[in-house]
Order: sequence, then structure tokens, then C-alpha cells
Amino acid sequence: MASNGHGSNGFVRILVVDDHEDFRKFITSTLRKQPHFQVIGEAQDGAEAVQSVQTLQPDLLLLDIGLPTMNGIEAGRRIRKAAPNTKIVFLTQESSRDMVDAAFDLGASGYIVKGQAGEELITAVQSVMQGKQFISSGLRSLR
Amino acid sequence: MVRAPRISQSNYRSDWRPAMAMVLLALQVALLVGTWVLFFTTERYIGRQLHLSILLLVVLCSAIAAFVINYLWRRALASEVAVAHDRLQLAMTAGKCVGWEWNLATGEDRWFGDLQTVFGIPSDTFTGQVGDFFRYLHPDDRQRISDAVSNARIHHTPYEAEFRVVRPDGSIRWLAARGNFYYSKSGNPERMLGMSVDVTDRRNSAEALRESEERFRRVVQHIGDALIVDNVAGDIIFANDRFLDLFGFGREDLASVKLEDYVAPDFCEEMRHRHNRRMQGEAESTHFQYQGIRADGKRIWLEADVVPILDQAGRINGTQSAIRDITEAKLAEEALATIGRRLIEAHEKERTWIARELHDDINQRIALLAVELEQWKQGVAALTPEFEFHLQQVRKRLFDIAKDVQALSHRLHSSKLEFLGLAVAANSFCQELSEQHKIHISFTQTGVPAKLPTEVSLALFRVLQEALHNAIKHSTVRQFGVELCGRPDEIYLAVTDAGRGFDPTETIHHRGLGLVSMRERVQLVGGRLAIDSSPGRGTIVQAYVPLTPETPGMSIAS
Repeated sequence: MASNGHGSNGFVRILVVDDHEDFRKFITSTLRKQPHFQVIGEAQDGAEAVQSVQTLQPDLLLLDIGLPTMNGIEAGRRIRKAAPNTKIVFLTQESSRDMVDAAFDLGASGYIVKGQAGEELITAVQSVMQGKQFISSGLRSLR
Repeated sequence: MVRAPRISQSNYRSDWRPAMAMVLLALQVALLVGTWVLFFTTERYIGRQLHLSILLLVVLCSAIAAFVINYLWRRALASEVAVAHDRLQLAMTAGKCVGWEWNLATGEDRWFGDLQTVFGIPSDTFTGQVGDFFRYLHPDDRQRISDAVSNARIHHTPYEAEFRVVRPDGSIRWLAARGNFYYSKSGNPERMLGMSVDVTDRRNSAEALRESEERFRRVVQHIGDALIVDNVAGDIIFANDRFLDLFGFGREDLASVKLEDYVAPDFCEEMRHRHNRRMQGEAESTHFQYQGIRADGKRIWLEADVVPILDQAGRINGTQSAIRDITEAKLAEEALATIGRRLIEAHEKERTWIARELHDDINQRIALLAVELEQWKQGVAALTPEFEFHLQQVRKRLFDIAKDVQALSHRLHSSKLEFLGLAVAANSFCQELSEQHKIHISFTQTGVPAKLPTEVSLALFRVLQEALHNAIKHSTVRQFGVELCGRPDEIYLAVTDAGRGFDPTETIHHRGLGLVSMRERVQLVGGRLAIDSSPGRGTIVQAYVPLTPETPGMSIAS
């Protein structure tokens, strides 16, 4: 991984996992507007996410928590083991301390509340790719 | 062992009177003989006249002595007879006996003994005619007794009969009579002697016992329960008709029926164990359920009440069992449990669906709206401060709505329970409730597995919610305890308070839907709920859920 926060080929290869189609479209369209971000795949549930990560080995994973078949926390745990170099950023409606703690405890690098994604998504991806942790401004008091 | 009373030899006194009389008679004879001998040997010496005088004097003395002796003897005998009569009278009165002597030549019938008790005659003797006796006889017994008396007289046999007499006050006494006819040398009956004993109490007791036994027999035979009595070895020694009907046995089969013939194979060992423990005098449940098996092989659910039977020495020598067929009740219970399970499952499914709709759709759309609003704002080059303020207000209201929807969603279905597990969700719920109600909930958890079957997690979480809400609402205290403990083969949850407590039975029957619901939820995952509470002594609600391969969802979780 390059120190400038981009992937090895100059792009940040991102996998988007969300079962809400409209939101998923919003995320991908927002990311694609950025020249150095490359959305390499999309998934709609946890099990599919685990499989896609193993196949695609993305630089960064945007992962919802409330997912069918396998929830985001469980999927995150498995991905952490299967692809330790993939950075995980949770993008979710869940805003409780327990959920945030669980996310970072399993090794996530970022946590964005969906309501603040419009202003925080790009910043969060960039921060995480620079090796920093990111947490939505509305949740910083929790940590 | 009862020992015979020791009687000292001094109590045995031979009657001295006959011996004394014989001695005196012998002395008289000796005196007379001596006088005659003296008379003939001394006549030549003392003269004939003096001789006669002495002889007369001796004879006179002998006659006087004989009279005195006879008088004294008769007097002693009369005294003896009087004592014997008193003894007899006493014995007859104590034994409620009456004697009779019927002179057939004169028709005179003489009664003596306890006439007061037997006939209501205020005397110990009565002399009348034989017809008087028949007037006292109960009308229904007259012919029978008349025949019995005639029969004894004609055939020279002892007379024996039991009959009733009606006393003047109308009360009835039962008498047992024995008598004999005495005949002349020519064979004609001269008199009849006999004795009657009042056996009313014995007859009444026997009748009462017979009636009691008959009642018991009718109860045993017609009672709804099957009844059996078995011995120490467990062999059936009595069974009522209901038992035979229930299991399809004939009465002739009973002698060869063994435990395995009417108890389902998987319950036989337990039943033998219970019986052996009872026979050894050990404490054993008297009320329990098991499965029986009919002669046609059909299984039935049974409920038994078993009590030990003691012999006269107080030793256990068997048991008596009342057995009820509860198959229909069991099926109804299972059907009810199924309905309850389906209701709860449907309820949870609906809650989950609504919660997911709120969380995964509506809330996402609200979030998306907020995001689009933010993007729209960034796309506008210049905004007036007033417009930007209003935009900010709209965004804030959108966040608030999203937060409320999220809370509603979580209330319906805990995402923490689903995503983070029971221990985290329970802890979080306690914290939220503490903040919401300004109370203190002490939460401890040890060894709770990260992965539990969803059914188990949900059941325990719902019990926790219900128990804590109840405690907060009714206990009147503000300190509560929650303990969640993972054991090798079960999960244990306890919710405690030191509040005012309640009567669980009363509460369940009258307003305890919450308690019933908790119990049903725990039972659905194979667990049990214990509510320990009493007025003024606080409450502890305990749920035990086994973690066995049979636990619902266990295979998926593992």
C-alpha cells in the first residue's frame, strides 16, 4: 500500500456492502466521483461480502451492519481473518456505544453513521487509507 | 408375648367343709359304737338302770351334734349359693346375658339376668308364660324362632339362634341364644334351659363394617381412577375394574401382570427405582407422571398418586396407587404449547419484520434524505445565512426522526442481541433502563457464550425485559440486580429486587400475563422459570435454559 493513502496501483480499491439499494447507489456514485477511488464490487449481504473480499482483496471495505444472512459484525470478524490487509469501515445506522466498540474491537478502521455519510464519507476513506482511525463526528463522544 | 398371670398356691383352697363333716360323722359313729361296746362290757359292773341312762344320754348328744352339724353345713351351703348367685348375676349383667327356664308342664317361663338391658324389664327376674317371650320377639323373627325351638325339641338337638327383640321403648336388641331341652325317662320334654347374650353392639359393628366395606368396594370399583395395591416385590395384589379397563387386562390376567406390562419401557427403570426407595422407607415423590402402555401396545400418559401401606407393626409392605389417564390433557397441553409457541414466534416474526422495515428501509431513506440535503447544500454556491439556518434545522429534525425510528426499531427487535449477543445486549438494556428510569441496575455476567441459539438469546432477553419492567413498576425500590451466567450445560438468568414482593400463584391467576408469557418463553426453549417471591420479602425471577443438542437452534449456533 502506498503511503499517500492510495492503493498499490494508485487507486483505492473499494468494495461496498449494503442491502439498501438506493443507499448503495449513493455510496458508489459518491466514490466514483473521486479520481483515486475505484469501486471494484458491491455486495448485499454479509456472506456475499466475505466471499467477495476473499476473491477481490479490496483495499477498503465499506460495510453495513444490518445485513441479511450474516450481520456486518460477524462478516467483519471473518473478513478480518480472511483478508487482514483490507481496511474495514462500517457505514451504518447503528449509533450505540456497544456497536461502535464492537466494530473497533474486531479491528475496524472507521465507523460512519449513515446520516452523516454525505459530508464524512470521502474524508473517512482518505483518513483510513492514511492509516488513521475515523469515527463520525456525532459519535466521537462515545470513544 | 402375653404372659399368663401368676397365681400363688395360697389362692387354691380346697373346700374343708365335706372333710370336716365326714370327720364329725366318724366321731359320732365311733362314739355310738364305743358306747354300745362300753354298755355291753360294763353292764354287769354298774347296773342296768345307770347303763340305760348313759346310753340315752349318748344318743341324745349324738342327735344334737348331728343336728348342729347339719344346720351349720346347710347354712354354709346357703351362703355359698348366695355368693354364686351374686357372681352369676354380676356376670350376666356385665355380659348382657339373660337365662331362661321354661317348664313345659306348667308353661311357666322364668327369666333371670340382665333383663333391664335386654328386654327393658326393670328387674333381674321375671316369671311369665312362654307367650311373653314371643311377644318381645321382632315380628319378622317369630316364625323362624318358633321353628327353631320346635326343631330342637323334636330332634333332641341343641337350640341355637340369633334374633331381635323389641323393647317397650321401641328399641331393638339382637340376641344370640343357646339352650337345651331336658326330657323325662319316657322321652317327653319337661323343661328347657338356656341363655341369651346381647350381641347388638357386635351386630351393629359388623353391619357398620360390612356397609363400610361395601361402600369402599363400590367407591374403588366405580371411582374414575385406576387403583392398584402392590406388595414389596412390586407384584399387583389388587386392582379395580377401572385399572383393568384402562390397560385392557382381564381379571384373570392380573396374577401374571408385571410392571413392564403396563409401564412404557423407558419408564420401567424409574418406576422400579421409585418403588424400591419407598419399600426402604426413603422419601420419594408421591405424585408424578409417566407413560404407560396398554395391552394393545398403545402408549398413554398417566398421573399417579402413590402412598405406602403399613402393616400392624408399622412396616411398609406395599403401596397403593391411584392412577389417572391424562393423555387427553397432555395432548391438549402440547397443543396449547404449540399454539403458544406459534403465537410467540408469530409475534416475534412480526416485531422483527416491522423493526427491519423501520431500520433497513425507512431509516435508510431518512438517512439518504439527510445526505442528499447535505449534498444539495454543497452544490449551491451561495446560501443566505437565514436559508442555511433553516436547512440546518431541517437536517436536525431529520436526525431526530431517524433516532426515534431507530429507538422504536430496537424496542421491537434488539439489533444488539442479534449482532452482539445476549451478554452485550442485556448489559446495554440494563444501562438504558437505568438512565431512562433513574435507577441502579447491577449487572454481572460470567461465561456467557458469544454464540447462543437465537431462540435462547431472545427468550432470555424477553424474560429480562419483562422481569425488569415488572420490578421497576411494582417493587417500589430503585436497586435491582441482574445476573447472567453461562454454565457448561445451561444459561442462568436471575433478576432480583428487595422490594415489596408478591404472591406468585395469586398473581399468575389474576393478573400475571407477563409472568405466564415469561414462563412460556422459557419453556419453549426447554427451560424452566422459577419465581421466588412473597409479600414484603422481595422477588427473584430465575430462568434456567439448558444448552443441549435438543435445545432449539443449538445445532445452528454450534
